[in-house]
Amino acid sequence: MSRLDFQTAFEELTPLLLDSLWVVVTLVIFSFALALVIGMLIALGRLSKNKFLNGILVVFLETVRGTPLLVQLLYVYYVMPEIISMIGQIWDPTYHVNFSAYTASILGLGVNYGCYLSEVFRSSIQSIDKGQMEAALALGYTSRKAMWHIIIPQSLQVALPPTGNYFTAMVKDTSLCAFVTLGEIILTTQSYASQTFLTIESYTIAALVYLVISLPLSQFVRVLERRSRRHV
Amino acid sequence: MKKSFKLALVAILSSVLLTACGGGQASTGNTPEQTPAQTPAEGKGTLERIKEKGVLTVLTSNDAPFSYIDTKTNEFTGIDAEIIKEIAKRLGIEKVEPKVTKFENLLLDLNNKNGDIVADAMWVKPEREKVATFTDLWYQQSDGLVVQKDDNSIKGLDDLKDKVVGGQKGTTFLELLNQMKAEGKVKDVKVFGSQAELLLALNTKKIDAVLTDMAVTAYTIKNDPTLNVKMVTPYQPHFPGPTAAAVRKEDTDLLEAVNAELKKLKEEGFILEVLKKYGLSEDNMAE
Repeated sequence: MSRLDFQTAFEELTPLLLDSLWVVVTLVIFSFALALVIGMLIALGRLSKNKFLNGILVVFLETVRGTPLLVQLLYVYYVMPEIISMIGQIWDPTYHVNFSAYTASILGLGVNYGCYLSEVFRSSIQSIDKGQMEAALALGYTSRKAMWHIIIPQSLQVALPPTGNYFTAMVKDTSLCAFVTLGEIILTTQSYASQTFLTIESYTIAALVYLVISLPLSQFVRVLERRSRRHV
Repeated sequence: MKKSFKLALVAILSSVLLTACGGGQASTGNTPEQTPAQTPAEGKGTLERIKEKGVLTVLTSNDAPFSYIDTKTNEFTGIDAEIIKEIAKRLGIEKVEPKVTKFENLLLDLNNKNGDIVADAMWVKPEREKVATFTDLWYQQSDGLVVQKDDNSIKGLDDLKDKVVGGQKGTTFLELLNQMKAEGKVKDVKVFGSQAELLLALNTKKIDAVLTDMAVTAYTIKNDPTLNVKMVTPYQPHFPGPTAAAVRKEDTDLLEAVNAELKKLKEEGFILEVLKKYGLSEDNMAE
């Protein structure tokens, strides 16, 4: 076995990984923001009395939760542009659209995590005592105002731990975006390792980079949870 | 009573799982390759072992036209495949089995003993020579640039300044592209896992050009005229492209045997025949 050369790997790989690190951090921020919005919308849709809306959402939810995230990413990156182009070509034969790897990753991660988060939000809203809604309605709130001003704010405290969980999980799922050519941590590491054969060194450094992101994030989530319990 | 029952159940289940895993490992540890009497250090060389087993395992990344499994006939075929099959036949090895893995992992799998030899149009490079030994040169086959069919703006590597180019993980082409990107000669480089993905991305206009083996591009375009791509010709290749097979550093017996047969095949004209069959020529012969 050749001797380990951490120094070379560190000097050459780390600058490359700093760029990838930025890509991952911004990717997680945008994707999670999208996921929160989608999650809340789907949750409210599922709670509505409209059976038709409920039905469509259930089909959508089960499809997204029943297929691997990797498959969804590949689908958004490779298949969706082709379908959209085909539809566009009905009017303009030269129409061709493409999603960048970054856009496809945000969409894929956002929709996937949005579906999982919607179940978190739905169950946290349903966990709030029905008495709260009755009291609000008795006081003259409309159903919608009661939901947004009374119920949802209380449900957020319940939803925080699982949501924080998904947040830290998303950081690790960004590694799948390597398959749609996004220049994140694992793709950069693989390209470097396959040219230089410093396999052990490269992948160890990559794992450490993920830890450097995840540990502060979990700490941040824990602080948020503690602060949200202060006024209960 | 109930609590300790649950505890006992969990304990039993976990120990069953653990012994199942441990038992699995023990059974795989008893395959012939791993019994102490057959490690190379104790007398039998890799070549003898292969001859006894009757199978030569060839590591490949399933790249047409070098070394791939034909989807219609399920046969291992291609330039490198035909050469290694002939060499194996002459060495008295009955079967040649391909083992498919990603190109960037070929040498890693070789050293992990997942295969005996790498035959996938790999170029001889100093970094690769540090981890494995290459046979004498099989042939020479340089790079080629592929662009979209209606693109006339790219005539060579100097026209890529505002273009997005694709490269495959682990290849010399990707290294060159990354170098060019650092020097500002290429706008952006996208990394893909296989030749097929590269050409798909080019076909769906995700990238403007692909830098890869010349033989691959010629073969793929010939076989799929629906692809919206074309080779840049005339094209000044950047690399001479010295191609050879690779074996583990300690397998000197296998190396010598392959080199001896290879020399004969070159003299007999077998290599040139195979090259011509796949669209290459005398220009690709190597010393």
